[in-house]
Amino acid sequence: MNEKYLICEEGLRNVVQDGKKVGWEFWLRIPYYAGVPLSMIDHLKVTIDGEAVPEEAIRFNTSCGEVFTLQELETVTTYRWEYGEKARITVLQDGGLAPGRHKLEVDVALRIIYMPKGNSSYAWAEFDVE
Amino acid sequence: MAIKLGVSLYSLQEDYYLGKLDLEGCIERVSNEVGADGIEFLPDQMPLPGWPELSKEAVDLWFSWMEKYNTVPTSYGAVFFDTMYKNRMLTVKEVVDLTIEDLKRAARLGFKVYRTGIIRKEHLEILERCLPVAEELGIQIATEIHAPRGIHTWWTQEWLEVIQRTGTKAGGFVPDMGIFSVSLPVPFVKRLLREGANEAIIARIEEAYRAKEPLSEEDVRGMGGNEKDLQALSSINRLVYDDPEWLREVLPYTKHIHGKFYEMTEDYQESSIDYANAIRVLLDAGWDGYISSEYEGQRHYFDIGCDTYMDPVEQCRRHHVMIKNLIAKLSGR
Repeated sequence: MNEKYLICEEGLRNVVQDGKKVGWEFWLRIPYYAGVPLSMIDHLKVTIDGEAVPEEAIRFNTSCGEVFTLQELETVTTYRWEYGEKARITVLQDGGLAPGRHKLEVDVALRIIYMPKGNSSYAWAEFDVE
Repeated sequence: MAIKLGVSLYSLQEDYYLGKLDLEGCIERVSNEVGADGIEFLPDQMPLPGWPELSKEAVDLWFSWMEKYNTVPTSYGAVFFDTMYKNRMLTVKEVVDLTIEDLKRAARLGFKVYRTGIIRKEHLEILERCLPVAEELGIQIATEIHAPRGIHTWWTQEWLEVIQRTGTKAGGFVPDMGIFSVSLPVPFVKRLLREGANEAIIARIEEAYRAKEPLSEEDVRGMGGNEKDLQALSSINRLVYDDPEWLREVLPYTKHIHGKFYEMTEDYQESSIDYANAIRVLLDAGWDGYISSEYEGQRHYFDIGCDTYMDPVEQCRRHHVMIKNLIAKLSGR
């Protein structure tokens, strides 16, 4: 649910460290009507310009400043992804994204009481990257 | 003994989601603009600071809002997190432990009704095991009677059996007015029509539903129905129209009702749900409790962005006018 608003208007940005582009990031709202412990994220699939991003390159940044891989998220029961929170999602990729327009696709599933095997929501957006 | 009116903050969720309102802002608008005092709160949707820890400061903040806006806590909307881990479901005891902690939070925030829902059989056992704690805390564990279940389905009947067998004072129900649905939600039909459904076919699907002679997929295809018409059919098959008289079977255990609605017109009509007969039964039974407006129409506009924006506060205000009008009319005032 909320597909229209999952990907936030902040768009796509390169992540620069020590003058080098080391990846890129975007902001994501939850596809549900409440917040959940992070362990209830069943999957988070990211696609850029039609190419699937390797799962190990994805990082979920919590509101309290912790950074987790998707595999690590499976055990994170004390921190939550709150309803309406814009979670920062980082993708590690040397060189980042080339300047220009990019298509971002996200498929995110939560295991909630009604759907213990996970419910999937899909959203996409196009953004210009500087 | 009277019907009192409140609002579930669920009704304002889209504005909260987009950062237009915070928790205090929701309470303020319910009080000042809807003009209601009952606050139904979903902590996992609009958490207090530090949630799920509940500090003394958070409790004080909550009660300072209740005082400032002249509101009262009514129902605490909870869910089970039994899907916490990827490799297994939580055990019954683990969920009992979590639920007891949650009941304590609800009681500390002044709630008298703990709204939850039975989805799987084990939830019955979980809730039964929590009843003694709920009794000590003076809070009622109330399971929601919500489509696609109704009053005469196992969810409701087996919890009723638990309540009667144990003689507990802490078990009950939150009936959702959606179990008196007479048609598809109006904004859902508008959405299907936007997406290419056929008005005449949807009308026939709804007529057949009301006549309790539901159409089949073949019937709809035979009329030339498309995928959107079939979506209307599968949705209507999950709706419930219980005889409002059946409410009497659960009212002795009911302190709170969800006033589900989908779209209030300017002249205070909600055509999808049979409010008149449900309110008539409540009045006749002398029922005492809160009806929380639960607006659930916004989501059918949310998909296209808020270009069509139904102000949830105005929707709830109209909903309260409708209920007050029905009460006045049905009680001959």
